[in-house]
Amino acid sequence: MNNDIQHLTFRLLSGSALLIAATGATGCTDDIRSADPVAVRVELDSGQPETVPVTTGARVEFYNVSSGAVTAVEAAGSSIEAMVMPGFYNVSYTADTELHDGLKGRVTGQVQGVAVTADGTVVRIPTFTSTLTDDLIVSELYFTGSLQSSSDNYNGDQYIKLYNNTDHVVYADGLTIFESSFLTVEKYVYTPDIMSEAMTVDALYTIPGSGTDVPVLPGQELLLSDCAIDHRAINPNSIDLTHSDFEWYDVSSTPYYTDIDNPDVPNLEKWYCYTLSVWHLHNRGFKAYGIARIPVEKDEYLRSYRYDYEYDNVTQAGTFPVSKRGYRLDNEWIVDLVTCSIPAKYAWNVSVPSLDMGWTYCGEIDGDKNRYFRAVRRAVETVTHDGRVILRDTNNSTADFNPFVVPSEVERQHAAVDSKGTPCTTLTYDGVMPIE
Amino acid sequence: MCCLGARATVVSGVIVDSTDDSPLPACAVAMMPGARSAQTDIDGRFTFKVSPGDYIIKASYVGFDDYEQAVAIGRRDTTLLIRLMPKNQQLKEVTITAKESTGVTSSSRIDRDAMAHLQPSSFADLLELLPGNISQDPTPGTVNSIKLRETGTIGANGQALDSPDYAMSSLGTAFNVDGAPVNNDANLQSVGIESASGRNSVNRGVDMRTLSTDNIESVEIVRGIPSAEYGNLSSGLVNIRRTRRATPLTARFKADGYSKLFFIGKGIAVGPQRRNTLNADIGYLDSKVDPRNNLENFRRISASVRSSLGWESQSHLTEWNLAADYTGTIDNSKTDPDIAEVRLDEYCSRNNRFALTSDLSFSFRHIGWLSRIDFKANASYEDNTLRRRRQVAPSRATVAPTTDAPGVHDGVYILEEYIADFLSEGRPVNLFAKLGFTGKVPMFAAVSPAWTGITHTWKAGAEWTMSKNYGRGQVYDPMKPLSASWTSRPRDYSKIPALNVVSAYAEDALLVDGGPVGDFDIQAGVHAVALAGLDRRYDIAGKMFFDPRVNAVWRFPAIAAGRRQIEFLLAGGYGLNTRMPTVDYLYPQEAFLDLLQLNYYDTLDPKNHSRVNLRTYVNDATNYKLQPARNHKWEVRVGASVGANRLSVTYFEERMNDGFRYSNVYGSYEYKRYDPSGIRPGDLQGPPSLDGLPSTDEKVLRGYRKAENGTRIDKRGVEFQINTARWKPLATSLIVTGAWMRSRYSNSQYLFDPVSDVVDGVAVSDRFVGLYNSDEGRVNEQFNTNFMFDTQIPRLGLVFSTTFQFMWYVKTRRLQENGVPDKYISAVDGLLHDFNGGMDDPMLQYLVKVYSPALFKDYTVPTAMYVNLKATKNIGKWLRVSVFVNRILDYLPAYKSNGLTVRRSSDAYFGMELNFTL
Amino acid sequence: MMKHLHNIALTALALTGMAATAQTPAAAAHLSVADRMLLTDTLYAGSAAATLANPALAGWRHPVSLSAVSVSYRRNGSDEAPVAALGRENAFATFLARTYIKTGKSTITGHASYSTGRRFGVQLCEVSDPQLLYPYFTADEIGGSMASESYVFGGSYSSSFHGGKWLYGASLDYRATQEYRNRDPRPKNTVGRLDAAFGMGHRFDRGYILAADVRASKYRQSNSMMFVSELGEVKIYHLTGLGTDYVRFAGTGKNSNYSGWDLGASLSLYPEESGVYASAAYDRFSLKKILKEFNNRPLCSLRDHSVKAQLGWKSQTWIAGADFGYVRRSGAEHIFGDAAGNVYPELFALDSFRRSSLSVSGHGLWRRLTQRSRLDIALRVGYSADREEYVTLQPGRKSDIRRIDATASARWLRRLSDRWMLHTGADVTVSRNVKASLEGLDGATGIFADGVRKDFYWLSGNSVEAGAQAGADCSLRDNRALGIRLAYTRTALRGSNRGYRLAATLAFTF
Repeated sequence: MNNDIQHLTFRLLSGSALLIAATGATGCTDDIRSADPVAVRVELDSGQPETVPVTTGARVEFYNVSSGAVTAVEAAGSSIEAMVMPGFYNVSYTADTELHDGLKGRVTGQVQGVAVTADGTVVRIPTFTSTLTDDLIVSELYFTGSLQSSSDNYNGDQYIKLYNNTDHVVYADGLTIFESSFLTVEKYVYTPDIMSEAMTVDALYTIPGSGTDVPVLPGQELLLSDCAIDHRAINPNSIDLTHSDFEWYDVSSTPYYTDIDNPDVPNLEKWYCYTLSVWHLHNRGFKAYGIARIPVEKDEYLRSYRYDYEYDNVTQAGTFPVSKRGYRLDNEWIVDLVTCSIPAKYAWNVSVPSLDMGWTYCGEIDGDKNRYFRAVRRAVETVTHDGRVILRDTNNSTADFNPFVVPSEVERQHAAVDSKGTPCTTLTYDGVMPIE
Repeated sequence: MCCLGARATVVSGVIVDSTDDSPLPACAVAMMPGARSAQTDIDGRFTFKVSPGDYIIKASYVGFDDYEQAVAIGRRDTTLLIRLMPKNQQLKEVTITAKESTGVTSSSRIDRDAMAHLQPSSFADLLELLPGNISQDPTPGTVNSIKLRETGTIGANGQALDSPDYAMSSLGTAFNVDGAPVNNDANLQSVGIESASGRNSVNRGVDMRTLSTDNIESVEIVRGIPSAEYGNLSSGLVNIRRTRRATPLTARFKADGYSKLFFIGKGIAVGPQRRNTLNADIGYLDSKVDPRNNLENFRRISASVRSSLGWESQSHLTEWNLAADYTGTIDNSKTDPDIAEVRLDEYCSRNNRFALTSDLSFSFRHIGWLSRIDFKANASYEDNTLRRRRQVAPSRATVAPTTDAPGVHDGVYILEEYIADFLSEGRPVNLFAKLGFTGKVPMFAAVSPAWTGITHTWKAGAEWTMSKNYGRGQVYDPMKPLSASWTSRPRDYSKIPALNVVSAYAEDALLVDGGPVGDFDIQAGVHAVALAGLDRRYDIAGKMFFDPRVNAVWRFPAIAAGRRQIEFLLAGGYGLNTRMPTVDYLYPQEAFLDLLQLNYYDTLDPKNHSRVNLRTYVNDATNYKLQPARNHKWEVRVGASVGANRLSVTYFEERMNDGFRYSNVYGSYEYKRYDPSGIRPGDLQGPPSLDGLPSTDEKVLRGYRKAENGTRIDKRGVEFQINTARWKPLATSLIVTGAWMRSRYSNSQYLFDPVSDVVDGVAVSDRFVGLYNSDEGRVNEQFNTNFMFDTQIPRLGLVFSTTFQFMWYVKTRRLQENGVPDKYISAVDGLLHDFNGGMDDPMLQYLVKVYSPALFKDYTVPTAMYVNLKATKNIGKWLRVSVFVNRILDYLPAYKSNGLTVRRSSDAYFGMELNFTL
Repeated sequence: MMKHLHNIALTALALTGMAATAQTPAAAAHLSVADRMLLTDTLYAGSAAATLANPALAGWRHPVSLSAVSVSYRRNGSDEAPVAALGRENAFATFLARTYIKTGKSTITGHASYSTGRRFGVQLCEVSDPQLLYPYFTADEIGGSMASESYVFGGSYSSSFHGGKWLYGASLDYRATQEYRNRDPRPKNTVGRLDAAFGMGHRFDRGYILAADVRASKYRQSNSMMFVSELGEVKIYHLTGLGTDYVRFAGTGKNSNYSGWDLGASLSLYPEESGVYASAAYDRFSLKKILKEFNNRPLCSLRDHSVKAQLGWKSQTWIAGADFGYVRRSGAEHIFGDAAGNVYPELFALDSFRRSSLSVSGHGLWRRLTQRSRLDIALRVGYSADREEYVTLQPGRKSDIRRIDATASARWLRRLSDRWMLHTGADVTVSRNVKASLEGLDGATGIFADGVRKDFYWLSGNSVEAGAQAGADCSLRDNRALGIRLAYTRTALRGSNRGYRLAATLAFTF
């Protein structure tokens, strides 16, 4: 049946059919757009118009939030053109640059949640020039905890590792570990909005010391754990954390949920924590963790840096203003930040892009049961000739961290990697690159 | 085929439908002997050629009675006219809805035909026929509690919410089967902390899932004021009468999305004039909460043998109804392939109920004032076991108490995983005996000719019920509790005393024939109820509670309008209903309270060197001042009928503010807190001793649950029902039922309500708990109308009903709460102090609770319309196929609430059943 | 005696000829159930089925009344599933009560059935009615077998007025299906489809009938995913066609809801005895997929325009005709903006998926009816073309499959004696692929891209099918018959993939 007969019969019958359709068919047609690309222009705004840093290898990436497609464009000057499918985008700009004394720096910028609907849409990206941190950085977060043989979650064995990535000794005295108040999986309009100047935190634990008590040599790490005991007594699949450098201990008044203090391991100084009982890292990884140096004394900080914020929880039963209490931590004080979320529910970063432009994860979906016995570890940039490891630090957790990898303590102790107790056989620098 | 001998006589004729003489084409007709058979043509005509002689001519046609007629054929050709009668069973109209009573009080009567059309799985499905209710999906996983004339507790966004505080609605409804009450007062089956879970039927009255409907002849649900004969109820009465007549062998197979049901029953009549009957039936239901969930299912096996025997003598007629019943429900788990290999988690609850009922009555013909003596007795024994085995792994090092006695003792650290094995074995035994006398006394026959006669029908009697639980109760190893935060201890039910309820009643029904003014029907009586053999310490020991009940109806004389009669009636009633507390409310378990004095976990040798020291308090949670729940009910009803069209409108109001609930009671408790930081793990040989350790004396507030008369339920509403005559062309009649209801659910006493704030490391609720004079509850309102088009085509044996169920709106509002406490209890002395602004301590500020005004706004769910279709079709004489689809169509417009558009959708609930009558 | 026999045969023949006139089944005198089974057509009525779909023409579908209550078991499958979403094997047991009653001037039909069974080896699709919902499935990597229960019932009533000049008829049908799985991942789908139609017709004196009908249907399916295993949950995807999925909502949206409606109309011309028969029908179907968690917003929506036409010539002993069908389906994905406070504002809908399927076929049927037997022989030749396109990715993805198939079938009914009747039948089908192209998936990885390639591999192959059926009916007293029927078909698909279909039915006809 060649084409023309086909068309003939089709036209004959559709004529009669449409006649009938006109009489009977009704139906609403929503506004459906045809799928042809539209032109988008990106303008960079470095804040200081006069000093535009000379950049090499500049790229602009359009990430289509709905379909997951990525359109990358090489960027020449300060304004870039591209043709993309209409949709809802996260647009990011990355480039390398040379700083004054030959140090390698990076120029980064990101805008989240841009609706590209018509031709000629303009996207303005504020860019930041970041330098390498000259202090300790967070090298590992083990927040998921392990499983008992009955597959119940055991979250007593969480820990955080800090690392001296510089080439000189760094004193950890006075360094504060903090946890963000906001969740990366729920985006609300928080009033008053202080995100451009400070982060909102709801747990602060500080390393005690006069100033030179806690030296960390280049290439050395600092182990801070929730409970510095040999957890294998309670859960054979867990690990031994008695060799921790510090532990955070909370006095709990409820007899059925107690914290355990190992007197041989010094405790972090508890500045503030929102929970009544025991502080744990968020077990499904919905918060951001980091280290900061707070130039103010504890009492003065607790008195004058309180931050009461409100947001509207809009439900069908009514809009209920929720007021919460946290503390503000100025962006300048923050040394390093790691943002955690999960691919299925990621909504937004809880800090300005300059502190952390990406996020890392353990587990694909909310309540993912495969996430246990896993951690996020900072990836290796290079290994120097004398064996010292340089970790990657570009203030972008997506690029800097290896997600969903076996924790370093589990590797070193050949501890269990699943609820059946199969021992770990791998040994790596960062969960991916094996140590020969 | 045709005869070859002498010339044949031609016999022809026509077969018609006797109702309208229309010809019946394709109707089978035959002549015997000679086995000639044929079918009529389009005009209903048939012809045979037969030799002369005596024949029997037979005709049969779908939907008509078989026709048999002897006929003598001579030499001349004969023509016959055969008129077939439509099958009588289909001809008479079937009532497939609840009949609104025209008696003294408002009640709904549901007969066997309505139940057959409704295709229910359990008694709960019948409630759809009551005014104000719409069809609900079965909930096999939770206890099905009845609620009459109320909206039920609703959550913030208009969805139904189950709350044990308002279990009064179902606890207060009495269920009588063949005159004997179904008693659930001694049921104590629960899994300790899971008292609020849906599976727990303690203090909730009858669980309707356990009542099969297949052997019910008719059920009367009294929504109004029950007669004084019935007591120990606060809401309404359900009177079930089961089939006691000869029936063909009936078998029923039903399948729907949730369950498979099978029933088989037979009734035979024996003896002289076939007056004595014997009925036996057995039914099985296997229903699942969710077909994917292998663990949660509900299986019910019910078997019953019933007989009714009667003797005549010239002085009196004796009737004796006997019944033996067994109901078994299994709510248990097989293993689930995805769980079994990982962890042991079994839940199995098995209830077996055996009951014997006897109802002996003597009706006297010649004694004027006494017409009947009735002695009813019932004994039921239940064997309920609830078994829970679960592999428990404490997520942190948790602590378990080791003794039941108060004072200081060492607890134990639970470190490794263990298998928790929990058994709750209840053996409630219920006995019931009732002696009743009724009689008729015609009075003032000659007072005035107009008043042709006043007759009194009086009733009086006494009743006694006993419920006692002989089970071993909760049996488990306190070292291996079901969950880490386990606060109670094992309990032996058999040590709980029996509950004896005695009552007496007297009632007079006055029937006055007022001639031109119409006639009056006044029923007035009183029911007295008391608990016998109760410990003196209880306030209500030996106290008698009197329930006056008055119902009256005035029927106006019929007025003729054209060829139709118009009748009109006005009725009303007032009644006080008293419900006695159950065994669980009167004899609760003691409340155990463990306070942690020392919590030392030795990191080097946790098994031998750790030490936990506890101080335990044991409180007697019995409330000796507990009163019975008393519900004031009154209603006014208007009824009218024009020819076959009937209308009835009822306004009702109910007030109860002493319903039962558990509420928290607070007290101050002392304990010593030891500081273990000084202990060096290295130099310990055994657990550290207490005396060397620094310690501080602490006082802290803790609460426990106590049964109180703290629930208030007020109901108000208008119910209406309209039945129209059948409209011939479409063979359809319209039945409109509906109701507007407003129900208020709240507490009726002051409330202790701890706050959750923490002020620099110390929980406020350890120091102060406020006592608030505040209403915590909701006012709900709903307006519903159901339009049921009932179409019956007897000729095809087809009955189908299309029901449009409108829930015009459901509105709920949270009652305004008062955040400022009147008094507060302080940990220092454990006494109540006046709050007056909370000046005594800065921490008292935290007791003032701030509510956002958005909480107390009305929330309205607008119109929702569902269409239900039910059809039954007879195939042949022995098979009936029925189908039903609830929500085959719906109209659920999206609506804006607080700026958000809320879109709604619904799922259909469908099923099919086969009924064989052999 | 012969005259008598001849007389009955003539009436039977006349009857079939007159089958078209529901009004006067003339001397339908004493037709036994065996006679009525002989006269009830299957292949013959099937050829003009589209034209007779109008409820007003219900009386012309069969010449005589026939009702049956039957229990049947059907099973079909193949070594590998030709379409992953439909599963490798199906097995169903069904109880069916069916009635077709012609009385006086009206015709009443009714059917009620309950079937329960299982679909084995279903992959990459967790929803029911995949042909209707394509391509917007909820899916995961594992799949498995699906337990399935269906409740179907319906009926129609048609009659005439003005002395049979004007015809009218109405029908109502409802299908409810529940499908679920007892092993992780565990979907549970509840489907409800209600169809209603009303038709009118006029009988011209030259023995032709012109009829028109209007059809409407409401479709609803809700599905929810449940996970019980402590060891892990699987990621759920929302597919959008040709191996793509809606990445933003991957891993969430366990409760979704499909709701749609269909509106259509048709025009038919039917000869009472012999002559031209023709019909044209148009249907517009639209469906929305809604995720309950995101404020019930539609995630994707699809719209169908379908045109069906039929033209042929019918006489007592033979039928020749042609069928034409064209369905154009277009799907749109709804794009959402910034989700503050879990409220997802919709920006617009993007037209992303298109599918057009064309089928043209011609068929002929020859029939010989005598008083003791009936023989039907039919031949059908068809051409079909299915084209699909996914346009929002660059480069776009296209699939184009065209095939020709030919089918020969024969049915032979013989009355061995007054009590016994024998049914036999055979069918042979040959299908050749004429064109098959799949573009735009070269670089694509992942289980769904592999799924599209696997389905394409099977659908673009050739296949041969041969089947036979046999059965016997025994007439009992007062016009009832009990019969059994067995059918088996063997299929040779591409490569060494072999398939089968078997059916066993026990029927009580009256």
